[in-house]
Amino acid sequence: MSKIRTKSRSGDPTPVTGVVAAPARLLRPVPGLDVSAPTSQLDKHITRLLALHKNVSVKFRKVDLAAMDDTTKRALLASINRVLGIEPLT
Amino acid sequence: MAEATADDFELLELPVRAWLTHCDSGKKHEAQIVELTAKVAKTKMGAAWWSNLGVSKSVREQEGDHHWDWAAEIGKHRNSLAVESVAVESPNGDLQAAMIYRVDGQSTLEPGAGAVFIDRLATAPRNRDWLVDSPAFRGGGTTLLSWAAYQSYALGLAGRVVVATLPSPRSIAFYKSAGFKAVKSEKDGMDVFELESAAALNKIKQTLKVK
Repeated sequence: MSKIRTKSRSGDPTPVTGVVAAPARLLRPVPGLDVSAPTSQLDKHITRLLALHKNVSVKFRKVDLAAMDDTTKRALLASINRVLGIEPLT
Repeated sequence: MAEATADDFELLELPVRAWLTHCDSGKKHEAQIVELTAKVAKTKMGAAWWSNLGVSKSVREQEGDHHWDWAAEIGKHRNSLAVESVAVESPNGDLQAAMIYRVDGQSTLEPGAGAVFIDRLATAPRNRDWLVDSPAFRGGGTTLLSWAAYQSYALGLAGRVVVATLPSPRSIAFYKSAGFKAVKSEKDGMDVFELESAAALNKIKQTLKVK
């Protein structure tokens, strides 16, 4: 006879989520994401934004993150966010 | 979850402060959302997740993720910016929940629109009240869902998050309660849920303490 578990405390209800392979219908081709160069989180984020939004990457096509310091990268991110309409969450 | 300004996107830079609820006392404990590398997964998941639970091997093996090799999965995508892995770490260094997500997801409710796709999500076995008698923490999974929504927002994907799971009452209850909309199952037999933009923004604002 199996044990009947008496629940005394609520745990984390998160179900185990995941499938062997993501269904193709739930993914879309995004060129520019298969690169290993960006190492910092800021570099990754900017590279992802430019890959996901081709209209923006045209405007910033001369971007060379390797040649930028952190302050310049943050200014670039602010510019990209303005173009995409990504506003602060207030 | 985190306490930071959102206007300069400080929240994108891990580690980010988060909160877990101790199941025994109900008190909030400060935690962190951290990057989950293959090395960290190998050390802090696997055996570290599945030992000392006080349940038999046969019971552990019934868990859907018992055979998952997180480190191998993360390693497989190390050269792809489409995939990212994060975890919630408690003050003692244990990982309480983990997630692998993709930024090249596709909305099922807004054709053509992008979304973050959750590839894998799980809370540590020690936190599962269906598995152990005294679960440790709760809140790790929902914290990571909010992180996914925030990432989606910050990447210009309007906060949309998509997830596919094998059908289960637990998944339906969890994702609906988290604000996701169930999308009709198709021929692959999976349940798909999507967090729409408006719900995502509400979720982010509720979870992130924006100054």
